Amino acid sequence: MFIKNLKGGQRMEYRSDIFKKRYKNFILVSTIPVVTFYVIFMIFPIVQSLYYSLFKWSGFSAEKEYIGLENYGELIGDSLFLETVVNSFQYVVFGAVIIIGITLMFTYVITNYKSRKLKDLVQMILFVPNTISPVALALLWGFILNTRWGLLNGLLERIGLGFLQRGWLGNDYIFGAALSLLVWIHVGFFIVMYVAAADRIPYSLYESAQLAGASTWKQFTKITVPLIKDVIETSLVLWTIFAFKIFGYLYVFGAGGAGADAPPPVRNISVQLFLTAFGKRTPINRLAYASAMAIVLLILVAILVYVIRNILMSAETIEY
Amino acid sequence: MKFKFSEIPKYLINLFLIFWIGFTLFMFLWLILSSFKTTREIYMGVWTMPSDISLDNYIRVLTDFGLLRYMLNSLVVVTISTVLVLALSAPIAYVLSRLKFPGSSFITMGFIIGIGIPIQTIFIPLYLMMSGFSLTDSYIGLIWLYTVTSLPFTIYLLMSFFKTIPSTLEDAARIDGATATQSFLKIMLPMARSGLISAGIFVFVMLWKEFLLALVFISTESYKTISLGLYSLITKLTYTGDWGGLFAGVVLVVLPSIIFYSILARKFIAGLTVGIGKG
Repeated sequence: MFIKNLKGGQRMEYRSDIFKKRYKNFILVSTIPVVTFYVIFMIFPIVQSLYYSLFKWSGFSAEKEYIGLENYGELIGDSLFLETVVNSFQYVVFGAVIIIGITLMFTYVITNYKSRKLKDLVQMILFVPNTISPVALALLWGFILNTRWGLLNGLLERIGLGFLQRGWLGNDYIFGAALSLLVWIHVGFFIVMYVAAADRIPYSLYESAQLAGASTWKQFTKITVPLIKDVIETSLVLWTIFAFKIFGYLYVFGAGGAGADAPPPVRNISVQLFLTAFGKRTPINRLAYASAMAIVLLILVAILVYVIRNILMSAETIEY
Repeated sequence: MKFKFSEIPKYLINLFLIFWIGFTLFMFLWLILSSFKTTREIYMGVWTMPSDISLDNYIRVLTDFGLLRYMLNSLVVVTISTVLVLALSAPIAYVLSRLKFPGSSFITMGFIIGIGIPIQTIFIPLYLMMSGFSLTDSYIGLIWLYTVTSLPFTIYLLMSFFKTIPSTLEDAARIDGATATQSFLKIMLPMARSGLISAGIFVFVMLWKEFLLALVFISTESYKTISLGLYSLITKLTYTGDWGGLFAGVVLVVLPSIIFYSILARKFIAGLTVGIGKG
């Protein structure tokens, strides 16, 4: 416990000769293999994707035909792909508003709990979906929303709201249904970050507000939110990345019971990219074309993250 | 507690939170209850109780449909990957968090960027590369991919842990002439034990639920991991209209994760929140 009160470890300068002699080998042995693996298996493949995207190639035949930017040209006219781009942005925007909104509200009430145990328990329950296989969750969500025997329609019937019953997995509602699954999971993910950040705000900051008779809501909006702004920003960046790269939930959820390919309304770029490269039900196997999608995905994510970090969140963070 | 007008938002949001948690718990309860039903009973609606508590559904998916095999596969692949990731990450995280040497900031930045690389942008070249080594559709190939793709995040996590540990003991050891290997093994690792365990649990859970890489790289039935295995159950069981079996399959995947997590939740959350709010 005493460790927490001390200052964290400092970095040492790589200066003196003794230091060099004593640490050099350790640095080399611990760094070089890991960095090499990382570059070969995670960085180099990005360059390769870029390279493949310039060819007409199934990926499995020997000959590749160089076609320049034609794959990208085809993407612009590919209405199915464009739909998945729009979907991805919709997941980002609607998801961010709903998830961050709900997470903030929950942070407000959870940080006001007096009992540590209750605080931990509530967070723990909210976090549970994040520990479970996406395939299982997507299936479970499909069971719940099943029109004939699902939990939601059953509940609506029972409490006299039968007129609200819908075919939730039909084309009209399936995007919202998929989004609701993502919201349910990620509120639990971000709440843990928010509460941890809020817990580290010194209590003294709240005392004067309490003396002045400010309501807990006022204290939350005027003190807590501004002081956890950096974590909110991080969560926005993370959500943006998630929304583009989330795969399992959407791939399995959209497929429904029949095990078909996910229908277009729920697909994000990731799902479309997978189906184009390795789709099992209707094999397309256009690896070069899918590589172009991968590059577009990467560029879109990079631009969005840059925009969020530097433009939306440009105001300086507050020190306390 | 006295009712205060100005506290109305708190009451309303608390109500919403209770509803949210209630729905979550009710959902899992319904899932478990339904897993004992026959498919006929499931069709009869939400409020039908299972006629008898029989384990038929469970036995069928575990044995006939090989769910047990998938679980064992996951256990082997994920355990080995987690150990490998920690073994590779701990020394470099130590070096990067403690020492300043030419390139150290650059390498750190490189790993942080790597956390954001979507697997989708690299799986096509990886697939071609791995088939070149005949490592597609193999345990070794999957273990290796799990290890490599977990590196950036694990290194980042361990660096955050190591930074919370004071360097006084290492300074003392250095003055006494300890080598870097000695300070790492004899001082850092014991002091960072809880951090390493948190990171290990985190990596284990993340890899246990991994789906995309398994889907791309594994096709042989007997190599499938739990997520992929459950996915292949969907096709098999809906083909025969066996919804009861599918419910049981989902329970068998969900329940171990929940139990494992509720035992280790504190460690797990510590892994997630290290480095937050240090100002």
